[in-house]
Amino acid sequence: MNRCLHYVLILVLLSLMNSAAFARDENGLLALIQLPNNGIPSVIERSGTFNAVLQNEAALSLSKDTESIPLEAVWTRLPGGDYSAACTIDESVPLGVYALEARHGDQVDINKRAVYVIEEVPDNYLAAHVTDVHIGKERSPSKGVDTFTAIVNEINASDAILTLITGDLSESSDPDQFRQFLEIMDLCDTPTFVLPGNHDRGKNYYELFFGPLTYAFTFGKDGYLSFDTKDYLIASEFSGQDNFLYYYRRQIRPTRWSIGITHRYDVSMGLRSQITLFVDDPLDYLLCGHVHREAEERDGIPWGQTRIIITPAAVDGVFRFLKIDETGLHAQESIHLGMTPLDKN
Amino acid sequence: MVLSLLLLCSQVGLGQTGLVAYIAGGTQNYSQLSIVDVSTGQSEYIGESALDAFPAWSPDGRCVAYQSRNADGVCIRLAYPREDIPDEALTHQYPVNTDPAWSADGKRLAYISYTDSNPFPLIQVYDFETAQESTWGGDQQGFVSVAWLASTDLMQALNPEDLEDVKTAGLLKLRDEAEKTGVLTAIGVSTDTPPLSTELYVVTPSYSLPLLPLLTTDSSRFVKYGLRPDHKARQIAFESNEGGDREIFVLGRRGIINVSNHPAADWNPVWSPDNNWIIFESFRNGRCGLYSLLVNTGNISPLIVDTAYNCWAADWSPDGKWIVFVSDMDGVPQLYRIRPDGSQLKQLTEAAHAALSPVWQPKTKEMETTAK
Repeated sequence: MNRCLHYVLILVLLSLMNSAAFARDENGLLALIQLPNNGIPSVIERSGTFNAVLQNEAALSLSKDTESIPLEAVWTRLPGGDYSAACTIDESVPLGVYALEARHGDQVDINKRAVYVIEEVPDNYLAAHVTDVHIGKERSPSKGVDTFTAIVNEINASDAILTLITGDLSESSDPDQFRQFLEIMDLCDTPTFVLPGNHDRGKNYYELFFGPLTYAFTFGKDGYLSFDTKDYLIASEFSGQDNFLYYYRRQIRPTRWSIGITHRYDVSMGLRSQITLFVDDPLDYLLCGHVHREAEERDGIPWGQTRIIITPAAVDGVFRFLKIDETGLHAQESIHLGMTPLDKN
Repeated sequence: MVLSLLLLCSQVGLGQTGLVAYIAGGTQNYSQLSIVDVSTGQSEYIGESALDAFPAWSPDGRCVAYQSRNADGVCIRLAYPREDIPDEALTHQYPVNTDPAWSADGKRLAYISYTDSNPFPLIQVYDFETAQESTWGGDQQGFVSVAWLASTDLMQALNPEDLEDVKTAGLLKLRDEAEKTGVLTAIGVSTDTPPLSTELYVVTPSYSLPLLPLLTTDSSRFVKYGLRPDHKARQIAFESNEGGDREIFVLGRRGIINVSNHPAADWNPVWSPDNNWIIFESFRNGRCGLYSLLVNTGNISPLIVDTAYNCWAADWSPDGKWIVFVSDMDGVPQLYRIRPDGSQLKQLTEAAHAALSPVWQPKTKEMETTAK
């Protein structure tokens, strides 16, 4: 735990030093730099390599305050015209939270809280699970703002070193709601990984703000796979997500615990996805929300051994910590911040 | 002039004609049944644009059945490309109806229906002669995909003398009914308590019978999916995790054979019109690629595979000379066509939104007349 505390203190300190960084385009949308961003950051040890995705080849650097550390990049053209840059973090780079800065001609783009350079992720760590933030919800007294801010403050006061936000970031996919969500999320001291919920997909802004719907990352010994369950009747059977699910599931196969993160689970969602994730190569855990309540017996995944963890809604002032160690992922009692729960709809 | 004529002849001879139905969009807000004319590359939106999905051509090539949202849930609609017949919705008993499959004579449609209260879906069959919908499968529920068997040949080949009495009796009853009504094959959930498993069923109006337990002892341990009978219903290709990962098996008169056999997932088998080849998707090279399998020899060769992009959702042209598929090789998934030997790759659609789920139009009477 000492090592964990040390790590968190470093993150807190460096996050404060980084607060002046500008991020994204003038509308808050992703621009030259698509990945990493503050919703899908890179958490990297020194001498490790992370991949950035950009609309053009560019001069890349890590920045915080007035300090700028140039990055060497190996570029690859991606299908669709984007470019991937494999960037290796030099041993001399100080630990901390960095913005990723890209310069292409006159174009300058900065993604805040995009790169976390760390010593190492401890074997035992605490993560926060937040879901159903619903920024903009009219029936919430503060339209979700106060509850989310209070939760971020609680996370910052804890030993958590990772935050997972599993969808319904906004109430109605409105750009202003996403911008407000980002403002509050950027107060969080830990790396924050987000994914879309059904409320985030009413318009097509989610991807413009956060990038891919399906992705995987490793955090220390553990593998996380984010996927999109916006519309379970049609989403997975032909859209191509199944291909990515298999691809990413295989990428995180060697990890200690394989942890799926999505917005909702329903037994009638696309069967191909369920077979991939729960039958052929079962995830150890699935984290989700959507139902605005604790898990009940009927919420289990009936295909086998994957354990489902459902956290009540952040808009009701509820979230939970997850303790992850050699024995598994242990969902702690959910934390209620004293707000009155709203009806789900 | 001679060269032009040769090119024209080769174009006609290539079978590069007809329409491909597909789904444009594929987002929560937008997915619309569309067609692209393979010879001109012209695309046209023809569906309701109400989260359309799962297009299926009628055997005569005149009509596309597809699922689409309505006020009650999801219905099956019929669109008639290039004909002056309005798009129409079938009337359903249950609110959600998906994944339509035509009978070989084009007189019936089978699809999966979800009731309001029961999480285990049913098979419904719509009869166009009576305009009636009926439930198939007897008391069995929990069907997740369905396909027609074009004949009862495979069922007749099953030898009841080798079977236990109870199973034999079930098979005989089902076979008798199948001779009168036709027969479906389906993937259904075979257990109602966790862990769930799926089974390959044969289904008539009154009966449903798990097919593999007739032929093997430990079928219930495995989860099957991706069901595709061949065009004469003498073989059924399906997927199973028997062997530890997703493999493609072919059930036929020679028994059940693992035809893909690789430690990466293999799925979505599609028979060639002559039943000699299967195109399937495999991740054996990292990304999802298309591979072709010569069924009689088991020989597998890559059709289109790359470590940088995915290819999926293949379908054959009716003459077996082309394959249409989806790829994200240019970013947004679009339709492409290619020769079965991997040559003459060409992009068919170019749109800002995705093009998904292509199905090639069967030969129409008009095409056959022109060919003659």
